Amino acid sequence: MSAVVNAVCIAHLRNCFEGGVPSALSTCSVDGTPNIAYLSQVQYVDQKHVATTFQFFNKTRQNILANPYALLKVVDPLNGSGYKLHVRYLRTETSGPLFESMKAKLAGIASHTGMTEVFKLLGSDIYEVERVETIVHPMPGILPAVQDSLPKLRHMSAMLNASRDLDELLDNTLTALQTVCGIGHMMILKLDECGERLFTVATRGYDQSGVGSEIPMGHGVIGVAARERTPIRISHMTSEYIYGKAVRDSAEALGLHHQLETAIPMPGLPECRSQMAVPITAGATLYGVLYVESHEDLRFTYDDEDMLQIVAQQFGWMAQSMACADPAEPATDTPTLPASTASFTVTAVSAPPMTTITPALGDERPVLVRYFKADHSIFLDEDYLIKGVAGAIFWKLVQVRQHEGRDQFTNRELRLAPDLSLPDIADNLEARLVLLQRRLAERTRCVRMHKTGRGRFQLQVMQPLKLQSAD
Amino acid sequence: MTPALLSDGTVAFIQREVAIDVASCSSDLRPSACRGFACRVSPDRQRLTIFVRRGEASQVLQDVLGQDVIAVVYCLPETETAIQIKGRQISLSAANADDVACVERYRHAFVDGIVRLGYGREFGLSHMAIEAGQLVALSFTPEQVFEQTPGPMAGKRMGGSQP
Repeated sequence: MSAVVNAVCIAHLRNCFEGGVPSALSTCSVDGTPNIAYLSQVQYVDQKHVATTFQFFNKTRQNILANPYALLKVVDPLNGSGYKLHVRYLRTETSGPLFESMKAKLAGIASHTGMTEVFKLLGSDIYEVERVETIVHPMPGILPAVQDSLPKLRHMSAMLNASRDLDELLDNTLTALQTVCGIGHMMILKLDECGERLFTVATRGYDQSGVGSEIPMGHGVIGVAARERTPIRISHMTSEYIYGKAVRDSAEALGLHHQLETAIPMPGLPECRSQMAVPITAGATLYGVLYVESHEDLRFTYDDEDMLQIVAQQFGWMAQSMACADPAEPATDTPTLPASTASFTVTAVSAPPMTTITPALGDERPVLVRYFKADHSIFLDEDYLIKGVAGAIFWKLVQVRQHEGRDQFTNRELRLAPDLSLPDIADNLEARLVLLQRRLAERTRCVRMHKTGRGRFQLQVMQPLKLQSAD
Repeated sequence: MTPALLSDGTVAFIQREVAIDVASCSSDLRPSACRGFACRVSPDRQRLTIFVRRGEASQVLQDVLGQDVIAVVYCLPETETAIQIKGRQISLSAANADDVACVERYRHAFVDGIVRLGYGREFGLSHMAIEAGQLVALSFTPEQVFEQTPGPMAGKRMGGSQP
């Protein structure tokens, strides 16, 4: 039953480190007493190295510091094969990419189970794999997975490359993941101007799009992936959740209730069993996060993580390039078209309308646009539309519409508008405009935004608007 | 060993559909390990018997004979509740027909348990496959019991308390 593999390479065992089946680590003290423990997380480092989490100063830790030889049993959750890895402890890392990656994954698990103060990664224990022994062979009839990552990546890269603006880039990215990778549920989130929150700009596969929803930096797998700028993949939600709950029960028994925070509701699927959050970066700049999830266990593999990370980087560079390429049109270029091209009446509570045009089609009933300065929130009649920067932009647009009688705008005039005080980050304005455009399309039939050229758009209003501002 | 070492709760727990892994170590302090299948507790609670697959356990069997030391971890997948028992005075024997029947009952109960958690039955049966002629009964006297449920209490000695 036992077979020794001579050449040490564990790349083909990556599925064993998915957390689907707990691994067992055996160590031995210097007085010859064995110890064996199950592990919550074993990290694949490279072809010859693995890492385990150092969370508590337990017997395993005492043993490896005194005697570095250990035996790690791992199981492939897809085909049932099992392996013994003869490993030697090398060192503990307390900073750097590997530590951050493991810490982020652990923090993501902890965040979802309210265990933030109990699960603390003190270090990543790095082991060199000296020998691999097969103890259980793969189940008969299970064919090895087809290695098709590169053709898929090429296909997706071409789809992203065909995008002419951010709106298309968002849609093409989600379509690529859906059609090429078969991913059913996903979202793209953008980091806000302050670097404190991520807001959703595009989603696919949910009953409610959730565009405009926000997640604080560092919160859940998405927020932690952003903060640590590292992919986080949780492959077996039930198993990971139960692991957290077991520790939680143990901590509660010890009276550590005060350290247990309220569990954060999972974004998207309520019964999600696999999830992956990948940072979208362009060089050193963090753009946001690409998040995918599934009802299936073990839905996303290491190969998927590799692919999504590359797609996310292409997205990041393209979004940045599009924002920078946005023409800085001179102020004189700003169109001042009268509202005669539109079919509505603008009225205001505080000032009489500049123009009154009878709508050719549609409802003549005025829609009350309420703006609250405190958080820049906008309500259309009783329905909440948007808040924050996108809310301030919308208020600016409808005011200009009312006072100047034009419905054509440029990105540049918004960027330079002193009353908006937009930070000098071009891609944030782009993302806010896309967000506003999508929220309008979802939430109301009375106002639409249409792109009319590079850095230009039209605000089309189908019903009279009545503007009202409050503190 | 004190009579209270294995409490009623511990005795019941280790005979449930728990995952069992066994470790020992060689004279040059290299650990060895293998899967365990079913645990039997003697009526006086002085001896525990675990079954192992001979091929996978060859190094463990050499080490327990040479060093007379063993560590066994038991974990209920449903709750992740776990304990570790360390012992000595190890003896080996071939599994008899009753033992094989006991292992088969355990194996199916274990697979039923992980199927309830979402694992495939085929996966479970394949991973827990046994050949009756290859089963070895490994008996030992328990000396220490440790809490092993992940978290701040992991590694604490247990007396007669329940896991």
